[in-house]
Amino acid sequence: MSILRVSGLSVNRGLLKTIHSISFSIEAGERVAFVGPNGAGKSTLIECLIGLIPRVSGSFETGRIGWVPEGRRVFADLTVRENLDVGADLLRVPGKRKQLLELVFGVFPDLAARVNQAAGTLSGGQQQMLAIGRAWMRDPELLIVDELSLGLAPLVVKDVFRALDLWVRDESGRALMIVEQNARMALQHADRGLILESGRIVREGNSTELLSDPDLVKSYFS
Amino acid sequence: MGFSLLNGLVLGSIYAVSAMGLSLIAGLMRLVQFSHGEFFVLASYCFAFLLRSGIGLIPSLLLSLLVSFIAGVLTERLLLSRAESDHNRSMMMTFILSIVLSNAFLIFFGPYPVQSEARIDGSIEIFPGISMGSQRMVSGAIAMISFLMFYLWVRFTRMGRAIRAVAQDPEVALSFGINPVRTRTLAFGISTALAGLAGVVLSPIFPVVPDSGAQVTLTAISVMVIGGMGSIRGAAVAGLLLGLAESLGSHYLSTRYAPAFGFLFLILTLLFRPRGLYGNRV
Repeated sequence: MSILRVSGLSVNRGLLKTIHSISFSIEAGERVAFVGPNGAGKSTLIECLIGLIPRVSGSFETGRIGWVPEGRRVFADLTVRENLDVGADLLRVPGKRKQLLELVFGVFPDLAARVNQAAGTLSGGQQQMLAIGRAWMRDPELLIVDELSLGLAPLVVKDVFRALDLWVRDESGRALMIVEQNARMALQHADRGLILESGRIVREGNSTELLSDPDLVKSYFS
Repeated sequence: MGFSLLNGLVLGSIYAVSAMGLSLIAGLMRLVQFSHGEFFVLASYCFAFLLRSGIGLIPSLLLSLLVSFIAGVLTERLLLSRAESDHNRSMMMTFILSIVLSNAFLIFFGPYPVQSEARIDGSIEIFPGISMGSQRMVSGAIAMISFLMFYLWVRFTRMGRAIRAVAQDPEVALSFGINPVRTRTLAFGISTALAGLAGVVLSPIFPVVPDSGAQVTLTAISVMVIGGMGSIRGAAVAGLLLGLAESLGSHYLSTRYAPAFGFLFLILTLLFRPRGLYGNRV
């Protein structure tokens, strides 16, 4: 079952064509890493998928998307609980909110202890957990995680990736899209990788294969 | 002394109501809304004329609020949304709108002061020896109840939470299904309705003239800056403080200096706490 199916998608950023007719799909249960240098079009792709910028041509089909933005972007003046409530605003199934809250607080007990604290007063790692929790509250089928490792201690990053792994495996019909500049880290936590350069997919393969490719090692992982 | 305190609270809650509306917009749209006072004046006129038409007190009040709400919604939809979040352009637009509106008031309502005839006679003895005109008491009570309700609304309802989320990050809010465009329009309408509410409750006390709005805007801006731009709580606290300062100042010094206290307060705040009492919080 495809969670995301993109075909021939082109996206402009201002007047510049940033994404050139790319096609790919993400299956249920998959963790897919999108790697590539600055300006490869990773952020543009995300912004198009979540509906912030329009596409020029092509199409995509997807279920509910939860977005964990680069730089976390929690609502700093809202409390932890209010951030999570904003995440749950679109839920229509009764009882789902409570169930998802239990999931979030179960995985991130740090947040449970700080429900009434303003999100801006949390540490970087806690804010990242909150950003993930907020996205989980949408009950997404596809979770897009943008530059998760930026500005976080390696141990925290490890914990957070472990939580994401558990989330994908916890229920069928979920998938994870990891977007990272840190290519090695992204591929280590993914099943499959796509390499983006100047708005095109230049390489696709499973993570172990990509991680051991000498050419890629030279240009991306050194 | 007791009377001045009470009078200050009444005046202060009316300042607070008006400034909270302004602060809501400052926080949400990063915009100082220079035509705020004109919506105050619009509602005052509406209320006065509706009362004269004999439809009764409560319907006049509600209709005047509705008019100022709709006027705000139209202003946001037809003017400000076209500035595409260019803050300087929107600010100039509200400035021009304030001039256009005050001249329109002059054409439609004439230069003479209009006072609504919602006279409530008599006075109430609150503490032994301290009594206050029922008129002021009622105005103050309405203002106080509405600013509490508004505060609770922003703090605890889903819509209030949406407004605060959009104020902080419209893109992320959009990704969670909150429509920033609609949120801004609604908030703008609520902001002008709050200005309108202040206009209605003050109209039996102070007669309104076409250019009353400028003073209202200036006072609201002072209160907002003292409280911290964009802070609802700050606007409420600063409104009350300013009301008290003006009232006590008039009592002990001279009524002629009353408006000066506000600006003195403003200057002191800017000197010692430039971000305001509750800087940068919605």
